Amino acid sequence: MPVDIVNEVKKLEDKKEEWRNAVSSSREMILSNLAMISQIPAPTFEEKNRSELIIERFSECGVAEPETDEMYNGCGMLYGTTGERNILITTHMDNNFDQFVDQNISITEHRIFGAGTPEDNLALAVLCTLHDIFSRADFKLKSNISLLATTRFNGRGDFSGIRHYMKNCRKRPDYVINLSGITLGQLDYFTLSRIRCDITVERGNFYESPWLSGSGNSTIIVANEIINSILRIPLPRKPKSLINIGMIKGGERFSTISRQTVFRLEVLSEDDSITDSVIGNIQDNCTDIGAKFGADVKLEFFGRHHAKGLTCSHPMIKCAAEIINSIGSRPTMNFINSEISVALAEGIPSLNLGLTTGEGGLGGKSYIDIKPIKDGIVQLMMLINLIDNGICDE
Amino acid sequence: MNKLNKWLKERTFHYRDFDLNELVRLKKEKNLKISLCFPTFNEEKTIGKSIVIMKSELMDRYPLIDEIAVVDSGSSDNTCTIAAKFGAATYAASDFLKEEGEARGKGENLWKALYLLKGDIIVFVDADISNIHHRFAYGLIGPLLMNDSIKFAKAFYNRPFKNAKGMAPSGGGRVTEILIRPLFSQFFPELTGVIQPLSGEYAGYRDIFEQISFPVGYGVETGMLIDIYKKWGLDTIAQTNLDLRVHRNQDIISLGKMSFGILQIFWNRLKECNKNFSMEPNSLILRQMEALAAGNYEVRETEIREHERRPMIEVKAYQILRGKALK
Repeated sequence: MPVDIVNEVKKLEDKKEEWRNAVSSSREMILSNLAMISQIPAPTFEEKNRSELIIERFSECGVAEPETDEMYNGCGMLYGTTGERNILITTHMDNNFDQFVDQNISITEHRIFGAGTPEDNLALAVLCTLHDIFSRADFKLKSNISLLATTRFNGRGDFSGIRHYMKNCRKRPDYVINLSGITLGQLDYFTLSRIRCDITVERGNFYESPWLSGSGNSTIIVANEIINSILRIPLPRKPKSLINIGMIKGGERFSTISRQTVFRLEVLSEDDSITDSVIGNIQDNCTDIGAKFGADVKLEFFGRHHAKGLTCSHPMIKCAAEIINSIGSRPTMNFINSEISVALAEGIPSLNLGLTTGEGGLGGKSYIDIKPIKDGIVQLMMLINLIDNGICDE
Repeated sequence: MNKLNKWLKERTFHYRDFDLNELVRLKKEKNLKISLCFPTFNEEKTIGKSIVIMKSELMDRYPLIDEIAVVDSGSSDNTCTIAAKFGAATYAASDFLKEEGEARGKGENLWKALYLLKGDIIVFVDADISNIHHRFAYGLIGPLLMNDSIKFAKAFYNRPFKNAKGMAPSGGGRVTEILIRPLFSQFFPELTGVIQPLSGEYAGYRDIFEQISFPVGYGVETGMLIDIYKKWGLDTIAQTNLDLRVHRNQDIISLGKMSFGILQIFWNRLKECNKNFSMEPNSLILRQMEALAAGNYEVRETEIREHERRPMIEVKAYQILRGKALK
């Protein structure tokens, strides 16, 4: 007999208020963790110091087995009474800000401002405070909860932190919940097929002056030809697919011919076969144009993800959507390339939850709202409770 | 010199020297109350975080501090609202001890904090620190609880400053090096061992603070340090390395004002001690701080003796050369 998920969520109404109070009493600890996490820069591949703080926080809170692995992933355990299910709660530590960017946050009456705060520093802070919140709420579980702060998520890191964890963890998780700073109500449970590529165009020795050698030798011109050829690659409307040329760098100064141009692109599709075909097209185009212009064109593909996901009929997704409704928010579904990509690829039911409202971005104006954090954490507790009681099992 | 370096070695700590559990135990054993005060004036950007961290870490997690208070100089922004929201007791300095007359400045807030707060130990932390951390409080409480002869602990730190491009790796401490250290070298050589005499973070026993006067403005740190040194001696003073302190750096005009204020307080202290500028060799030694390997410090001495030449017109050879005679 199918489980009545609406009713199961309703049953948690009484508990919800108790849990809200517990989260409220942990407010300072969450914000304090957030402030201290933000003070430690963690560009991708340089997360060690932040990882040490996470472990220290786990340890101080009484999280069992606080440790880092070879990749400096920060891990800890909250053991349940029977260990019937294993639930992995995760978020990543690294961000796009280097150590010279001031990431110190400012806590005002209703909002917290600061670079990186919406980009998951809040999620890390919540991860570090969960044990304290659970203790205050007397939130007891049969399942084991694994807490994981991963490294090497962004860019060239290519999720290698979570990949390493999944490959080496002692017990495969039965469910994975990834936390994001923003946005509350967002419910992501499928990932697109993806590949990233660095294309480097280089020229050998020639007269530096464009006056003598002609500007056609410039690697910028060659790169431009390649970009045009990529934009001519036919993409279907269905399955939806996209090529995004995200970054470009080339040339030295006004008066010399550019000897190196690098650009980076990402291919996204709902279908793996489209991505494969685009890869082939790009390779052919680069070979042809390189030969035509006598330039050395190097391609480096990385960050391959396969299109995977759950459907909205999966009980875990139904539960999460109903929970989001019950806290007065509206579930919005989107694709995401987060830690869940790795778990979904292994067939583990996984989703991503946002914790509060706010606005991200690289500027100093990015912020999160303080008040909704409470609901963000309560939704997480409700989902964990339903998973623990088998309501999310297929 | 040896005495000074001995003091430097014995009374200079690092915040990592202190274990929070041990401090909590000692505080309980000594039956002490500890208050933390943030003197504020328009600090809405940083006060929320300062209170949240101190409350969470040093009241909820480790019960070291008994009260957190903001004593405000009449902020026109949301400093007091934010402070109250995150659980600090907030006081407008001008509402208390009105019979003592009106004054406004950081020193005024600190002085009134003695009246308003309950602690046997009072910790003063500036509210404009971007990278606030609970070490800014427990690093100063540590020496007081661990060593009964220490009555006053002062902070020092590396001070990068923010500029338009982000964080610059070094800087700060200009008034210390250009004004305070030369003055201390001449008049209070033993105080040259204090690495950052103007740091805004310090902790001390109430029975020390209540017996000294408090300059209201820029000179509060200098006056306090000299007074404690004069009354109780160098050994009652300690200093703690709190690592990194990030705050907005002041422009040269503001530093000029600060220096002028400090000079007034300094001169008052010199008058009280009947000290005059001395040209004795020992008084012409400038004592500067040198950071050694492994985080240690040493006072480096350099004799600076200024020579002067008489006006050229008085020199015989010059008079002959130029055909001029002294009138």
